[in-house]
Amino acid sequence: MTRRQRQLDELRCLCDDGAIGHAIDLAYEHFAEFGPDDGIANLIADAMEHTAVASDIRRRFDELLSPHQQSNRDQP
Amino acid sequence: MHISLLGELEVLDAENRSVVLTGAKLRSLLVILALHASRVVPADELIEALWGQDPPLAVRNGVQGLVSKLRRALGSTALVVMRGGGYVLEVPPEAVDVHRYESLVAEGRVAAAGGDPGRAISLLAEADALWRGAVLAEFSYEEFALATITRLSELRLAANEERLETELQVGRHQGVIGELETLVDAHPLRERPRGLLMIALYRAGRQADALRTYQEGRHVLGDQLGLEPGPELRQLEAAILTQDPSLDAPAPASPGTKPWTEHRSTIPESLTPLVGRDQELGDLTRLFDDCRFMTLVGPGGVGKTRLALEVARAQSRVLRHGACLVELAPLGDPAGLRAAIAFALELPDPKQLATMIGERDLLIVLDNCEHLIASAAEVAEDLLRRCPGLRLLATSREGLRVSGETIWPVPPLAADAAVQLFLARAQAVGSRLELTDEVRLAISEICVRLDGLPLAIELAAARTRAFPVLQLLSRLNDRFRLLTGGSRNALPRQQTLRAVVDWSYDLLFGDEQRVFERLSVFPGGCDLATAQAVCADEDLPAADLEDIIHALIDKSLVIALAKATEPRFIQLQTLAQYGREKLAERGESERIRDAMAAHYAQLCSDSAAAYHGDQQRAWLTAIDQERDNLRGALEWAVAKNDAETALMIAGGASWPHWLAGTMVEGKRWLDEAFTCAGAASETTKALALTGRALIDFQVGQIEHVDADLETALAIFRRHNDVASIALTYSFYAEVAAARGDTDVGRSRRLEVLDFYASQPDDPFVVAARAYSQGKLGLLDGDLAEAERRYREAADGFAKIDRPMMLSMCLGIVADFDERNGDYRAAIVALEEAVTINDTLGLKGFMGALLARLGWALLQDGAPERAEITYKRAFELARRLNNAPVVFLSLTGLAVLHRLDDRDADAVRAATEALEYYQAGGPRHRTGGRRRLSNRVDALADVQTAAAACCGVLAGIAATADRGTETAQLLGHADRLRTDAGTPVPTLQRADLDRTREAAIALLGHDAFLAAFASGWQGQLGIDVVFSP
Repeated sequence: MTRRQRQLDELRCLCDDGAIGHAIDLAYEHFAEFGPDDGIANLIADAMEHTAVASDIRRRFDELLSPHQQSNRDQP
Repeated sequence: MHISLLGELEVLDAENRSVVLTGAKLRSLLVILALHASRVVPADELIEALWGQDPPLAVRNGVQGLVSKLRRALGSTALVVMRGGGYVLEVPPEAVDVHRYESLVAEGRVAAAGGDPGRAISLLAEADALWRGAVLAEFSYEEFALATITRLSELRLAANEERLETELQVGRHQGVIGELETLVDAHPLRERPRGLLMIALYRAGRQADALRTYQEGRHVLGDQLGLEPGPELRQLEAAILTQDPSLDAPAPASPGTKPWTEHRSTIPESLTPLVGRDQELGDLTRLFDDCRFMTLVGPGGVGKTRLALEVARAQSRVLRHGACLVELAPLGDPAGLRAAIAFALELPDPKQLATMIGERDLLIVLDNCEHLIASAAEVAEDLLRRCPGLRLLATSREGLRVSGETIWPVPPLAADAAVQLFLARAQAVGSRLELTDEVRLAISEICVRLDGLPLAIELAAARTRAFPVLQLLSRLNDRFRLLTGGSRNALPRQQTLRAVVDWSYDLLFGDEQRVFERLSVFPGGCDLATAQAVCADEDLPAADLEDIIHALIDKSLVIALAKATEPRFIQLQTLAQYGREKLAERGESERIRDAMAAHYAQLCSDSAAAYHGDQQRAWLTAIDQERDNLRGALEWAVAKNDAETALMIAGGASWPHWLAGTMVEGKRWLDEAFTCAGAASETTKALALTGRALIDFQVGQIEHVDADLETALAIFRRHNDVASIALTYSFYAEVAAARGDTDVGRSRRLEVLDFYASQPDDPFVVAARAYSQGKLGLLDGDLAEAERRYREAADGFAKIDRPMMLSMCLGIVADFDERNGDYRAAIVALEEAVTINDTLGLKGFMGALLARLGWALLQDGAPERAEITYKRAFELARRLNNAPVVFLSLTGLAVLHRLDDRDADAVRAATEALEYYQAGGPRHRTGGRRRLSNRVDALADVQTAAAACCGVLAGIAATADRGTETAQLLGHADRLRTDAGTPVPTLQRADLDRTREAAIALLGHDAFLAAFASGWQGQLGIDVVFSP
């Protein structure tokens, strides 16, 4: 299994366990290394639909997906 | 890997093969990375350098493609790695000639400032020799190269001027005139070389030429710039006109004013600039003027080590013997503290630390003392009491509480400096921060939150690649609120760092956490292959380790140190300690430590195979690099009573200890391993017995040597372990011969030959057989046969790259070359042996090789090189407490000084050498060798060398019209040579003949004979004394 896949699995587990805030934090790290990933964004978005999530966590998620944040990580 | 930029671009791989790089961009890429060797070059910077301000749209793909091409050309993906937002060439800076040049110039300047002009001249000349042509000539139209070309060209000019000025200071005015004239012709407007040329001409008795040089300069300046010469040049002209005595050449150094010294510093260069510590550095430097022992205290992460190293680096420039770093973090056992200090100082015997440090002006940095506080206090107190020139700088969470200690709490960074550090670290990991007012404010607040702790700030800044600064602040605030129960009050400082490390650790994926924890078991860090071997398991594939470690580097949780072959990964002490805690919490501590110990036991189990196999060079290099880890693995095994692992490590590493001259440490390892009560296989025990016999023999404890070797041989024979038999046999035959037991030596050597006769004829067996036949030739006095066989053996070992055996053969081949009068060939052989030992870090034989090289150089008419070589041998031997080499070096220097008409220096060296002789050290250590009568190098024989010293003193006594003493010294020298059966060295013959005639003229023939006879019968130092 690749690292990328392992990280994806770990994020999925966190979402399943309701640790959305932690999943978002790790998603930032994942995006910084592997680039943005719609699959992960959808995974977290789905999890947030089924869990009561604080507003600051929603804000973090929005910032994760913001174009500005993504361009910051656009390194070769 | 060697990259040469000082001339046409040249790249050599690890095997010294030329690497072909085609394409201007590819060559430019390598040059840019090489100029930043081991440091990250941001991708944007690369793009601008390679494509200018207007790069194509797909430029990032272009960079990646170019990097891939470069990796292919260099034959390794590990040499060019992506890190942060850029790329780094993973080679040590000294692999690039530009960096080596700058470092040599810096060292030369330090030596000049420290009052050691000889060393300064030698370093600056070595630096200049690196230039093969114009720097970066091929890139002289490239924007990226312009500043470097200007800077280096100017540095070269300035460094050459400094060297020439230093040469003038030591009276070499005649020798520098030609070079100064060339320099003045090339740079007619430069006043400094013109002034130096004027001084050199004046001192050479060419006052008119000196004044003409001034007038020419005046005309050039006037014609081209409309200027008059500067005040210094004008004053110089006036001084020449008035023949001012201040212009006279300096008198030669008198004995005792500048004793032989060796300045060395093992303080590592910093990887990043120091931010915001000017005040602290100034305060500490001032304090150091008045106190000899200072301990920097404070919580983990406050920057104690960094500050200590900066202070030490500055102090090393002013202390005569430099500064040395002793890292105590890798040390688990307080009993190893003295050994760690001795190893760092390259001293052989930890029990005699104070004696060997003596009166040297030296700074020792004891880094991370907290876990060994009682031992550190005891050692510090003892050394400070007995070594008046010693200074200690310790770092610790708490003071050592010994008399004379100044405890200096390291403060956190001031607010501005903290922000500056945050920005620098963020930039280093490739973050692109938009520094709006809001972001600046957030950074300030983060730094306040983190109490200005540098490590905490680094860890936070490293995350700016992933997180916007405002989010970082919000997450840290959340974390701290949780820890303070919702209050915004500050945490105690040690909890602040802990909180940030926790936070940083929580932001790792599971595989990163596991690698971070597992790397913490390596006290000396590790390379990638070792990390893969120890840290990988079924859930953590070895193939992923490299990426994971680089992710940890990006997050400042691991540091990559550039080494000669590949990077080495280490952790800061605070982080390693945290990692070990987490590893224990996960319940994996024992399993990973076992794996680590097993890995190093496996490495040591290759000991016998490496002794005769083709991996010898790589294995010796690995053992040298892994010393801290080997010690750590041994301590773990001993603590677990795991005799198999402990004996394997201590036994396997024994002969490298012998080659490295660290026998005392090797013996301690073996003694500890033999205390283990657990089970061990008989072959492992046999390996340890072989090692113990070798080490015990070297340290003079010979009672059980034969019994140990015989037991080991019997076991290896039973297991038909050919490699181990070869290893054990070689020592078995050697110890008998070395202790002067010729018959036993011969019979054992014949056994060795029988053994090799029973082996298939591979190249090693053929060379080893020739070596043993050579030994037999020496034992039988058949020198022609011995010479032929040793030359065969040297050729054979060279072809199959067995550096250790080759080095030994070369030493003996050089003996024969000298005997044949072919000193040039002896020099080549000895230089090759020195290079082998240097490359592999083997210091055990280096002093002896250098002393012999000094003698060959002297015979070959190269006294300047001989002197440098002898002084290096002397320093090394004195550090390793090697009396024979100290004695031989002093003898060589005495002869050399006498030939060079430096009689005062000659007297000092000869009398010091004879003091060693009288003390008995050289005779005790080399007596066996002399009885073998196998030495063909006259000076290698102790008595002949002592005779040479007497000859030097006799010549000087004759000059002082002291006829009786002259004759006595000649008589005693004659007696020593007669006892040894050696002739007068050719180099001394003419001087001794003149001395004899002078003494007869002074005393008359009969009185001369009487005094000569009394010298013949006299005891050196009792009846025959010469006082200058």
